[in-house]
Amino acid sequence: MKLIIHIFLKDVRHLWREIAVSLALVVTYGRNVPYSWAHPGVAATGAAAFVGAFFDAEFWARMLVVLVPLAWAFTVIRVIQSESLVGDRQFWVTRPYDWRQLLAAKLLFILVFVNLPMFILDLFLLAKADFTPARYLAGLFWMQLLITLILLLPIAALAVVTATVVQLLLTLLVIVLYMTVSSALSQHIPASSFISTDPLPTILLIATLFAMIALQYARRRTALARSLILGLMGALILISLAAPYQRLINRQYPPLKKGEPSPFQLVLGQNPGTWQRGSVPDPKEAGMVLPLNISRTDPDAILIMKGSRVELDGPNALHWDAGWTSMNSIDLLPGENLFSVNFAMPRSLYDRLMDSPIRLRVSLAFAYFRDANRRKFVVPNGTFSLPEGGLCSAMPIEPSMQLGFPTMVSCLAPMHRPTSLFLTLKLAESTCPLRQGQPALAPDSLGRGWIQSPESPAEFGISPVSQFELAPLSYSNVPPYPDSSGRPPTGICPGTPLTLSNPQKVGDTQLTQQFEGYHLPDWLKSTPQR
Amino acid sequence: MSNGTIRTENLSKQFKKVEALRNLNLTVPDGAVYALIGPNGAGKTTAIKILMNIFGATSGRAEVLGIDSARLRGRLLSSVGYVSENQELPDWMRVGVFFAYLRPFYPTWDRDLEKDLVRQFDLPLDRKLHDLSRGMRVKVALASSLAYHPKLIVLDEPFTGLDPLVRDELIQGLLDRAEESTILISSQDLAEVETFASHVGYLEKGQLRFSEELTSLVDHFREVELTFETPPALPKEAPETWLQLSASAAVVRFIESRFDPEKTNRQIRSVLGETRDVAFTPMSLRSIFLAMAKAGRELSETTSEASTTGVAKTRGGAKTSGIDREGAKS
Repeated sequence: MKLIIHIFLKDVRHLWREIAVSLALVVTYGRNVPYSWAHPGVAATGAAAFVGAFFDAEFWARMLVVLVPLAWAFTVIRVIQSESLVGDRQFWVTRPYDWRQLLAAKLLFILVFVNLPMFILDLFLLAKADFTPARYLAGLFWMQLLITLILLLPIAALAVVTATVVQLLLTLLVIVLYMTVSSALSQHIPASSFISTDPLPTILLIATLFAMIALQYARRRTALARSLILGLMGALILISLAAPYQRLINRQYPPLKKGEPSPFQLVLGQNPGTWQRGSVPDPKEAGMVLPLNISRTDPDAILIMKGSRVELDGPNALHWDAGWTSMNSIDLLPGENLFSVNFAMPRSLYDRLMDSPIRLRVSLAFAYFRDANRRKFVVPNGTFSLPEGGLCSAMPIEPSMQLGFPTMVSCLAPMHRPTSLFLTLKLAESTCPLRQGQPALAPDSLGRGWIQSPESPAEFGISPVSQFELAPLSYSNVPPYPDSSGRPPTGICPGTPLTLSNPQKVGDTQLTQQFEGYHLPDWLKSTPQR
Repeated sequence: MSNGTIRTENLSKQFKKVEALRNLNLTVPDGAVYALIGPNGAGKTTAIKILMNIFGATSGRAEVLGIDSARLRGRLLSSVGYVSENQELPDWMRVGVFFAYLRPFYPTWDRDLEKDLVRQFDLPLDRKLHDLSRGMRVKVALASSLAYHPKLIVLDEPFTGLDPLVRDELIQGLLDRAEESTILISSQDLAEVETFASHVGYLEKGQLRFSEELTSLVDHFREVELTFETPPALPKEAPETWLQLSASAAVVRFIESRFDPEKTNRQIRSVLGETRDVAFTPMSLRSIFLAMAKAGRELSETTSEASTTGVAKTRGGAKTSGIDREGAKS
């Protein structure tokens, strides 16, 4: 222990500048963030924004969200590389350092100058936001674990296989290139964007990073440790290429069992003739769009469309399968029924089938939520408490209107945003003043918003206080604004009645529906340019 | 493996296509001041870095203080002092802080000895390491490696680029502690090494050409100058122990690498016939090193020519295979 402290104190003496900068940033962040809570979303526009940004608390709060972790990462790199594990000229490798003591000294340093300041910062921010820190200790430790696994561990693993910061940045560049290439590769496996192959890649990644650190400290075998990264990169690509996506889709989105009620039925909509007929990059392909209309059997169903698969059966037993493609999580809130599925098919196949009636089979993978716990809520004046939303208050009306934001309610929540909070606003009931020249809103015009966050003790980040806005983000039955500015019609002000609810996830599932006797030209999205 | 502070057994190291060490069998006896000499790229630093477990061997094994060198780490290094010409020191530290930092790592650290060394080497305790000259940095490194009475001191080219005064100071500092330690030093500064080494090993192209006590080595080597009545014909194949055989009119010169007065005289007569005059001159370590290096170069040129022409040429005295064998025995 004596030697651990001895090495630790040496590092403190050596890296006092890095420590001072990182602590100064933490303190600045701690001072700045509460100010940005009090003045949310208020910023100047135009040239004034550029100049004013430097004096704007929210701008600095956002900058510091990046700068503080960067300072921590830099401190971790410097402390590890102060006894570099790469090379054969370092004085310490022929001195009686015990690798366990060296590693422990480095961990102690990171604990004292990264984890502890973050913990104290988090306690301070919770208290400043009027939450009781002692109630959120589990969440605070969870945040420490996340920041350690997501930021500190990868940086430490890179620091043990590089001798200098520049070398580490170059390695990071290589990793970014790798991620770009693997992302380009994944474009060829559309299902990979909405089907997770976890936990295998995550386990592999974390195990490799730990192995690299242990291997370097225990044996200083840099080539082997570096080859572990290369091996991991190869393994992750192999996993994404070789993953049995169909099986994974069936496991993550199990098809409805026989007799199991479906939350909706699909109806193939009419081609409104207004589909954009843009160019298709590949002239050998025909871009198709299927307008779909859902008829809900469960009126409270909220659907998030994750992926789609289109299969065609033509004459002479001809069968074509587009495979699964991502739908980028299209939300279908209650009352929203229209969406479309896009796919591309070989132009030659299109030409062969265009005159024949075809059988179309559409499969959809979706998350199914049911709206629940619906209740009325009138937005009070001043600060008020929402059971699932923390502490909220209506934002000032004037600045929001001038900047084109809807007037909204700003909330601070401890550890994470609400897991699922849905608001419905009858726009005609809003107490916010109408803008000049704005047409009157119909009684059935609605504004809706849905706030979701994963169920976990805390979200990843450096602040335990999540700031979010309770605002309508999608509108229905709203006449276009006269100046076509796209400004939202109205917002939430004190006295505005809202309907709040907590949609509960029913499950992830898969629905397949078949359509007979259709003609492909009806769904041709674009004409290839020849 | 048995006796010796350092012993290696068929130690080899391959760096991709370069064979840096080939079956090195080296023994550094307890208490010896062993000078490992050889031309640049001979494998001296590689051998030392394997011994210090800075990197691993490709094959073979090495023992340091009775411990497999691959296990030499942590506390086991508290009996070993290592100084290298290009060692990276913590430049941000002041000299005094550097000593203070190292002290707790060594249970045998001797504060009085530290003070003596600081005085002897005239070290500025309040100056940062990166502000020091190269010579001063080597002195700091050496002082920090002597202050705990190491059983083994390993020095890799410590004198390179140093002025004579600093070299003398370092050597004096080493000699003052030579009785309590075994010293392995790799160097090309042969004149200095000759003044204090007890044993010498000559490494070339990753192989140990000879390894023996310095006095015995110097006894084995003689510059031989033979004067004949008429210019003699040089033999096509001279004895393997004759290096750099050359003739100028009636004078023949060569270096005898296994000098024995009776045997050498007999060999001269049988190879070259009767001479008018014979002179045997003792050689300095530097001259021996140069002779060995030249012989090695000539051998490699011969080998290279042979490999390109397909004809194996031999030159009198340029072959060192005989010395290899004898050297390995000694």
